[in-house]
Amino acid sequence: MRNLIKMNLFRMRKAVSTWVLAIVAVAIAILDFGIMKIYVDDPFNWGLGEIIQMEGGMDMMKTITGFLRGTDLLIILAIFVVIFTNAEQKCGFDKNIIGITKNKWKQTLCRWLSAMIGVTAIMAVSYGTFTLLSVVFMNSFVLGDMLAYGKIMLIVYLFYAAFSAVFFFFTTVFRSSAGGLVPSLLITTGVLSLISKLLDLGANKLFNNPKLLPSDFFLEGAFSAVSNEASNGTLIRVVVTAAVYIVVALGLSMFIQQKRDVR
Amino acid sequence: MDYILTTNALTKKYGHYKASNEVTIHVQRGDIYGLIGRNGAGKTTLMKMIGGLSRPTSGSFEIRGKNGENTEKMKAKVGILIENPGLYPNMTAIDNLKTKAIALGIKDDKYLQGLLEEVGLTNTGKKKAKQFSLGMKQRLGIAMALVNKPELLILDEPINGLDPQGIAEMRVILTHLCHDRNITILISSHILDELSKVATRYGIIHEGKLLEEASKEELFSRCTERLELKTNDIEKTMNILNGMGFSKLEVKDGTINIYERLNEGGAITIALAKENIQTNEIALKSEALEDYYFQLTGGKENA
Repeated sequence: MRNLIKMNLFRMRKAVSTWVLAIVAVAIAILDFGIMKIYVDDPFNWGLGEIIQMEGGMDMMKTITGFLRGTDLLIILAIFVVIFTNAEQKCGFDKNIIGITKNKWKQTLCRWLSAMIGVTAIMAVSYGTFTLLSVVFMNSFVLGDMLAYGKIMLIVYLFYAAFSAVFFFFTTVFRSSAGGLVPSLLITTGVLSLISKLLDLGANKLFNNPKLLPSDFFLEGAFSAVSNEASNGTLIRVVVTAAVYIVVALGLSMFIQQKRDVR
Repeated sequence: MDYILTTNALTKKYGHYKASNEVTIHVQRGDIYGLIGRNGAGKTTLMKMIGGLSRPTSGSFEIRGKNGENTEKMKAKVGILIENPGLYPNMTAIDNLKTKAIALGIKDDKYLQGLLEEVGLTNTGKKKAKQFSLGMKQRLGIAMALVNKPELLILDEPINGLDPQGIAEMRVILTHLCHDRNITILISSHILDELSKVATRYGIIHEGKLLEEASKEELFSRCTERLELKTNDIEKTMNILNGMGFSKLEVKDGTINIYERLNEGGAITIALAKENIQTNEIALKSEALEDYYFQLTGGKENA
């Protein structure tokens, strides 16, 4: 398995798309920082700065987790995961590898794990850029609650893994970049949240229980609930939701690949 | 018999359609085994099952006497090039080889360079695979199949779409791999003439079924090959051939067909040159093999 991951990382390094997407991720970090700076400086006196400022200076935790929870970076990661995990099949390279191993599911798992290394790298580059810009250009920047910061960061990362597993699942099922990208982008851009809201309304009417919200168990719905203000109960629910998505999406992808013939 | 590969009633069904119907073949070590069949006959399906890309619906196959489907160790002895060489278009030849080598835990860059030398791709440098000609891609595909040091090489239509020079180069490579590296080759093609130049054993497959399995000698004993000779003076040529002791000759449409001593093409050319007769064309023709194939598969309308 280690060799398969090494192979995937080698081809990731050689792929132009990896570098292009990393540059786009940096650009997004710069853009998001620029927007935040406008909010903080508030050149038009719209009273925007209060939104993300705290007593004594800028709250680093709040700003950075806010940035990571945005969908801009998620869209880039969706494109990366789909392109990267579909590349082997697209060019037919998988035929060189699949035939010589018995357990095709191992190759599937390694492909996702490698994609996650790429996701982590792109995330780190983007996050690093945003943090660096914040430290250099923002006045009175304070760390905030580091423990809470770390906890939220870990949960956000778990969600990135869950989203990646779902994108990977779509790419595996449809065996094409387009087939993987369309549902992935529908999820990341929040289009599917309309459906989940409709389900909420339907469930409310059906069971007459306003607390029953199916959207809480949709990935994007659970992701939007991740915040420093969220209760422990909510955080446990979203962590379990993300973990279930990872297990189910990956398990199904591995099962499909194991059973399916190579085209 | 020292069989490197045997299949036992290997069957692949897609719905009710049997793409491979209880195919049993026997490939001896050192063979260049030619799978003959028209497009859609089931050659690729059979090769995909043996190469581990497709699961048989029923039947089994053995590589070196061990169950091929469930033994990872056996699968590692097989190199495949099926349908098209799976190459990363934006990578160089050596990077494509490295990618597969890393997956197999092979770190020997010299070995990979050696593979490129073997298939005549040493001077490609930083040229990316997408800029390669079809012949170069096919040769790189063979190098890819050789990375895991296979004992059995499965090549599906490797000469398809190649120009005459590309076909000749491929022939040289295949002969080298079989004779010098002792690699057994299972090769498919629907170009009988080309296959007949390299294969030592044949399996004729049609509509998913294996119709016949035979050695080159057995198959050719059922057919008649001929040397086709075209010169600038047919009358003089016939006299010279008679003088050389050839008797099984016929002249048809300006071409002399010789049905005996087929390996004496060189001697005939020299004899004609001595008498200032120009040889325009001399070639070993095996349309008879085609005729035999058509007879087996139900006529030319099926081709």
